[in-house]
Amino acid sequence: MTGKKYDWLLYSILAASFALSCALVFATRPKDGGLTFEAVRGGTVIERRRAAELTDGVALDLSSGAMTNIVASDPTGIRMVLANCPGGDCLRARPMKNAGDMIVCIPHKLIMRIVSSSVGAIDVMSY
Amino acid sequence: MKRFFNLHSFIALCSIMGIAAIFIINRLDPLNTVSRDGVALDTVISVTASAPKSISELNGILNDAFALIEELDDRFSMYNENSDVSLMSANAGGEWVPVSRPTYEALAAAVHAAKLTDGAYDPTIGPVSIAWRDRLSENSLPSEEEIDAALLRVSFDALELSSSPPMAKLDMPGGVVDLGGIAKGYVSSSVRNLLKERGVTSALIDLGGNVVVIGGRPRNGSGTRTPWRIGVQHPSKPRGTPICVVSLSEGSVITAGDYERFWEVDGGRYTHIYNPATGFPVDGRLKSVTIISDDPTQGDALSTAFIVMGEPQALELLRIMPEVGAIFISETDDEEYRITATGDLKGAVETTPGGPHIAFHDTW
Ligand SMILES: [Zn+2]
Repeated sequence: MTGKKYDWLLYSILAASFALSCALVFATRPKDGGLTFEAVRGGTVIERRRAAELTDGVALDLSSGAMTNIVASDPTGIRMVLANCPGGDCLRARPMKNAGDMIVCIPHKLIMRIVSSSVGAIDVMSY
Repeated sequence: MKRFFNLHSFIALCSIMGIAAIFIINRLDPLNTVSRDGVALDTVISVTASAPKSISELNGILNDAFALIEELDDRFSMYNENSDVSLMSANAGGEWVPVSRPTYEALAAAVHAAKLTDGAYDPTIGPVSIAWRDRLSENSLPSEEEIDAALLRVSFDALELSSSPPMAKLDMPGGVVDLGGIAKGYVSSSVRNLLKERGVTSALIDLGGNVVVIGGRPRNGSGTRTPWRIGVQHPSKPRGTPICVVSLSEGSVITAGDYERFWEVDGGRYTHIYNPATGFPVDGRLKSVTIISDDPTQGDALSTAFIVMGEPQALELLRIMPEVGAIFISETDDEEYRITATGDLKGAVETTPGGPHIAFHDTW
């Protein structure tokens, strides 16, 4: 009888261990979930939000001091709509829609990009 | 019965100890990671570094890495009139110019690469690239005369170096030094040295698509490492779409592509890679070359040179360079793509789902 009693305890411990392992695996799982818009200036992320929140008509002011940069979303994607950088290259950049798309305002040292929140199979691109 | 119970106790104990060990490893694993992005060298740069150090120590290391990148950018830039490179061009055909040690080293690597590739890479291509850029930016094309005049001022033989103190001289009136084909490679190599000297055990350095990796990728802080996975850009698909993937724990992956920077004038497409023999932008079936090696500086120059040389000649040169791996992406007649890789990359490069088959070519 003693054996049976301890068997019960044993299986409880094993079940608990299994549950704990599952919890651990779950906690460290690759997080999945859509696309994220990020803006980075001087090594700091100054804006991060789900790309889905940037729907038509929503504008984001990423200006800093005398450097004006405003992005907005339309059906073609997220693009720079106002910038006072010399050359204005960022205003002509292709709108961002998919993971990996990027618009850079080199004179204002501003990077905007769409990143995939899911852990992809690739760490970085060579181009 | 008692024996049976002891065995089960033993198994249970082992399970509990196993779980405990996982927790302890996770808690005690001292590896921290910091990551930073910026704009320098006319491109987007990103450095991720891991080490058994505090976050603030790691941030200090990244501060120094970014300061180094900016310093080197200032020295190498054609567009900064006080850079070493601009001063050399301003004194072209005249006096020796004192340069910084890094500029000397980058120039020495550039001259070496130029000799190795018989001028397919040429750090004095400046007059040609400027002639094209000036015309293309106003939506026209340079005339034959303009190109010929520019070509006369292109010659890496005119680049002279003196080691101590570091000095350089471009013995060519009207010559222009352009380190664009080697600067990012040299800077990434310098950043790698700095990170390693400061005890960084795992890192990913991305200077506008020039990639250098250190020590494999840490997995979930568990202490195990897997190779970094580096996508090679598809020549005609949106940025971030790989055509093949390289797995590498330590080394550099440097790509030159004719799709990367180009001008469109009158329906024609003009890339920023020029053939130093003709003075014209490259316009071939070879769309990109990726160099995998331990030397990103040389890799940068070789990737550009190989686009100019074409695949057969590049493969011929690689026969004497067993330490260098290469991937060639070419356009086929039916507007598909073909991938050739050197034999040493078997197992390290794979195609993407639905992507072209990779033909491995044994060079030695
Ligand atoms: Zn801009």
